[in-house]
Parts: sequence; structure tokens; C-alpha cells
Amino acid sequence: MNPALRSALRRLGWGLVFPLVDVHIVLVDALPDLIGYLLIVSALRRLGAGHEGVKAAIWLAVALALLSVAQLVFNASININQFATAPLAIHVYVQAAIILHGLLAYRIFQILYRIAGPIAPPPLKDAIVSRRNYYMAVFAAQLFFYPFLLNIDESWIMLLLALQLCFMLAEFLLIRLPFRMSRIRHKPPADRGENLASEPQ
Amino acid sequence: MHPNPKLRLNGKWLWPALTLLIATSWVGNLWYYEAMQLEKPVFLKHYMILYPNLNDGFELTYAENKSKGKKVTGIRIEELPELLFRIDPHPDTYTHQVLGKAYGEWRTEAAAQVERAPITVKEATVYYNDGPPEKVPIGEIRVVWDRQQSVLVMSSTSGSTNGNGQYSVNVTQPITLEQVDYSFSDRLGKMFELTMEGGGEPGPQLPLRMTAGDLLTFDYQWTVPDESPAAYEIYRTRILMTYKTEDGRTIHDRLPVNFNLYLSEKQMKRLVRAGGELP
Repeated sequence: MNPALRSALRRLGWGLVFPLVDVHIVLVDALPDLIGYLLIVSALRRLGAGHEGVKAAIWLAVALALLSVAQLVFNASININQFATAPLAIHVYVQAAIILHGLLAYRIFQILYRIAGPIAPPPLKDAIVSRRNYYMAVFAAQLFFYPFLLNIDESWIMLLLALQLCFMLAEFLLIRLPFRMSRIRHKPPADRGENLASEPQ
Repeated sequence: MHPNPKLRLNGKWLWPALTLLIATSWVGNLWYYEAMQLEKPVFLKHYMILYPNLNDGFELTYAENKSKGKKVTGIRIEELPELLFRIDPHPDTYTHQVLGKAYGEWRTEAAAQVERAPITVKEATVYYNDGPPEKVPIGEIRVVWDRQQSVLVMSSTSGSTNGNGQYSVNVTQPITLEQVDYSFSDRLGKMFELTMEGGGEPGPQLPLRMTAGDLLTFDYQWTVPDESPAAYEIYRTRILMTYKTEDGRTIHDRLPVNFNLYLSEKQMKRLVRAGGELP
């Protein structure tokens, strides 16, 4: 694996960490989503050559970066207890961000699968497919159940929190993939020398 | 061979089906949410008897939407300018509504001193955060100015959430108990049952002579059917007693009766579906 690909994969992984982790120190997100999406854009551009679908993924990441600019100015998270009180614009914003993020994740799975094609061992390729399926199932379930928050009482909130946890797990499993792929050693021994030579950094 | 090479999510119908499912979820939930909103706050019907001389505070209860629409911001009863209302945060919460409480307090110096003819109030002027104030029916509140001194001293009270309770009073000087009744007896019918025990025997014949230190015990039982319109009514009834003292005075005395309103989620939904119209 060439070092450029390796670092692009790592960058993609780190980029995905930012939107997942929402640590607010006072009012400022310690890992702003904006930086994360910009890292993803930059990583995708490097991975881009020859992979179809990368362009669409880049556009999705750019759109998400633009959307996340708003988060620097106001707190766009919705407290579950004030769900129905939140203005419609916030719901639209949150849903748009989730949908775009889900579609971006789908593209990233596809791109990773194509990159994995010639270099990754079969179990890793299996993992990409099963993790993608799990991710998309949880993603769809989340979109489906979100509007129910308008009409359910507190007793149902545990179920939704459980779904949220499943989504976090799906996201985590996605993030692990580019890091795992970046550690692939090349099978063709011929490549080895060249690869080792460029190993530092 | 790679066991699972298929990378496209199966079939071309999957994405449209998912989109349709999610859109249906939104449309359905938004429709249900709208259907479960009250057009404006609804005041429950209150049947109360109040004694301003006793600084008799009380509360008016209303239902309003949790988030959407008009909110109650103030209440005034025109016939009773000395009554001030404090609108309080909502203690009971339902999925789409809250029960609001307006606590009525008498401005003591104005209320405690006066003697006036009893009045009955059926409407209150309600102020909203949006739009002009309105007169709304609140049931029937009887206000009685009465400064008579009681010769009864509360000895023990008990009550439970299933609607029964007991009051015991001690007689502090010899009296002849002539009459026992309770307010709103005509309205209450079978929903309220009162039994008395005096002079050591249940259901004594009146008039009943009692001496200082005798115990008078009242047991009551509320049975308000969940399905009836009365489930949305709030009662503040009083046990009314008429007795004569040894020096020949006739005293009309009264004892409070505890009442707990409990509206289930189901009952609140029924109120909303009825368009907030209470029978």
C-alpha cells in the first residue's frame, strides 16, 4: 500500500471521528464537525482517482461542512424533553444533516470496498459489507422513528436511546474500517521493499 | 471466492420504499400531533364553596397544549377584584398537554374584614399570551362571607388517593347538632357518600345533644366514574353543620372535604378529541 493511500485512509477515519464525538466544553464543541467534514473532503480527494462515486461523496461532505458551520454559531442539538417545542427549522436542519451524513457513510462504505478489492483479505471485505448493511438498517430505523418523538411519552424514550446507541456503534464500526485498511501489509512480496522503504511516515 | 460480493442494496425498489416509509412516518406523526392539540386552553368545571374570611385559598385547573397555541397568562374574576391569581408552572404532564394551575389568593386585609351577601361566580376573565382576553365558564363558585366562630376543633383527618377519608372533630362546649349536609349535594348524587358517627354511635338521630369533649366523626367516599363527564369536574365541597350552643346561638359551621383530581392520559385524549368541549 502506498503511503499516500495509507495517510488518506487515516485522515478519512479521523474525519469521521469529529461528527461522532460531541464533547462540548462550555459552549464550544471540542471536535467541531466542520473540521471533520473538511478532513473527509480532503481524504476523499486523495482517494478519488479512478473510483466512481467519489465525486458524489465529496459533494455530500462539502454540503455537510457548510451545514455544520451553523453549529459553530448556535446549538443545534435538540433536548429530547423539548422535542415538540423545538422550532420546525431545527428539525429540518437535524434531519437534513442526518440524511446527508447517512448517504455520505454509504458512499464511504462503497469506496472502501472498492479500495479493499485488490488488497484486503476476504474477512475484511465481508466486514465492510456487513457493517454497511447494519449501518444502513439502523440509519433507516432512526429516520423512521424520529417523527414519533412528536407523539410518544417518556416511557418510550429508552427505546429511542437504545436506537441511538446502535447508531453510535454503527458509526464506530465504520470509523474502524479505514484505520484497519491502512494497516494492511501488501501481499505481493514484490511490493514489500518499496513499501518498507516508504514506511517511516 | 468472496462469499458476499454483492454490494448494491437489493433491488431497485428498496430506496423508494425506504423513502416512502420515512415520509409516511412524518406525515402520520405530524397529522396525529396536530389532531392532538387543543384549539385553546380549556378550563375544567369547578364546583366550590369559598370563605374569604377564612383566607380560603383555592386553585383553578385548566388544560393547555404543551407547546403549540395559546397559553394562559392571567385570570381575573370581575365580581371578586380582591382575588389575585398566580399562574403556576404545570405539575401534571401529558404527552401533548399540561394541566395548569391558577392559585387564587385573597388579599387578606380586603377580604377578611368585609361582610357581603354570598355570590355565585360562573365565569372568569382569562388573559392569554396571544389575543384578547375572554370570559370562560369555570363551573360554579359560591363565595360566602361568614365570620362565625366555630366551637369545633379538628382532632384528626385522614385521606387516601382512592377517594375516601375521615374527619374527626372535638366539641369544645355543649351543643345540639340539628342538621348535617354538604354543599353541592344535588350535583354530587351518588358520587359522594357521607356517613357520620356521633355520641359513640353511627348514623345518630338528629338533633343530637353533645357535651364538651365529645367526638364527631365523618367518613366520606368519592366515587367518580372515569368515563363520566364528572371526571373532569373539580369539587370543593364542605360538610355543613347547623348547631345550637347553650347560650342559644345558632351556628352554621363547615368542614373541608379533600378532593383529588386525577386525569389519565386516556381521559386527556378524550377531552382533546371532544374539541375541548366539556358536557
